[in-house]
Amino acid sequence: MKTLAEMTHYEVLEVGPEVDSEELERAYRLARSAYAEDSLALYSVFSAEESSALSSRIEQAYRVLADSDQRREYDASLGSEVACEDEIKIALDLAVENEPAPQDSFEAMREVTEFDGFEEDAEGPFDGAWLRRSRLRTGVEIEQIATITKINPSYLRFIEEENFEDLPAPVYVRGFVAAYARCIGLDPERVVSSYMKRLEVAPKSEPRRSQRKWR
Amino acid sequence: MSRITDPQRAQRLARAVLSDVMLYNPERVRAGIEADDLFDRLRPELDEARAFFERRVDPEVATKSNAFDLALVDVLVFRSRRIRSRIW
Repeated sequence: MKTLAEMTHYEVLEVGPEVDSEELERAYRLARSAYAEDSLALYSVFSAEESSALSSRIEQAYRVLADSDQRREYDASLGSEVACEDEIKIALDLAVENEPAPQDSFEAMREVTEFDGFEEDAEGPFDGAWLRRSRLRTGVEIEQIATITKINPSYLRFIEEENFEDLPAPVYVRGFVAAYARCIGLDPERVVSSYMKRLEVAPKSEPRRSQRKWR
Repeated sequence: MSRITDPQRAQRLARAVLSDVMLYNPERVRAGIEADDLFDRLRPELDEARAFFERRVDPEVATKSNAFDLALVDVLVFRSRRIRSRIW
């Protein structure tokens, strides 16, 4: 994984080299709010110094890309690297377009997608539905956790759905759940311990959905 | 249960909730954008999401900030901008 210093301005703001001014502005605002020092998603992930460095890097990236002259010079300095990234992006877009449609339906997912009865419950068991409620309570999107943790958003969704069948080996799940918990300000140890117990007893042959409704 | 009174938090909640609607219903969002009937097609989910949002957010803040409706556009519509449709 690249360090902050190694990332291009485009990577910092998570936009492609073709980004227009409107999209750039949105990306900048999103990055600024996601990595703000008081961000709920990050306060347990980064120290104040790290948050400050991230914010400075975001400001620097935006300053350059928002100014057409500076951006032209910067693009020239990137040279073929940008062209290469363009190709990768096109390939990724094609991969997404060709991805088979997910098998879920709203009805099948209802017990985890229902919003009714969302209430605080500080005690476990910390199942997938509970994690999702906690995430929503902090106003954090799956994509934001994915961006921060570099975990595939599908896996984060499978964790919430308790779709154990489609998750990788438990050793990875343990790490994913810990990272997820940290992102939304939960105690990773408690969450991981509770969640992994559910995974251990889950039937191996079919995906298991959380039995808990939104409360 | 205390309600959210900070407009920024309300905005964040609206975006998170609608992002979930999109994440959990990708094909229906795509079909809704393509056929230009997104809000009708996702009516039950959006009603549920809005009801949830309104229960969690102070009514005055919800009205003044217009956070939910703004997030509808920012999240559901803007993030679907690459889907081919006669909308654009």
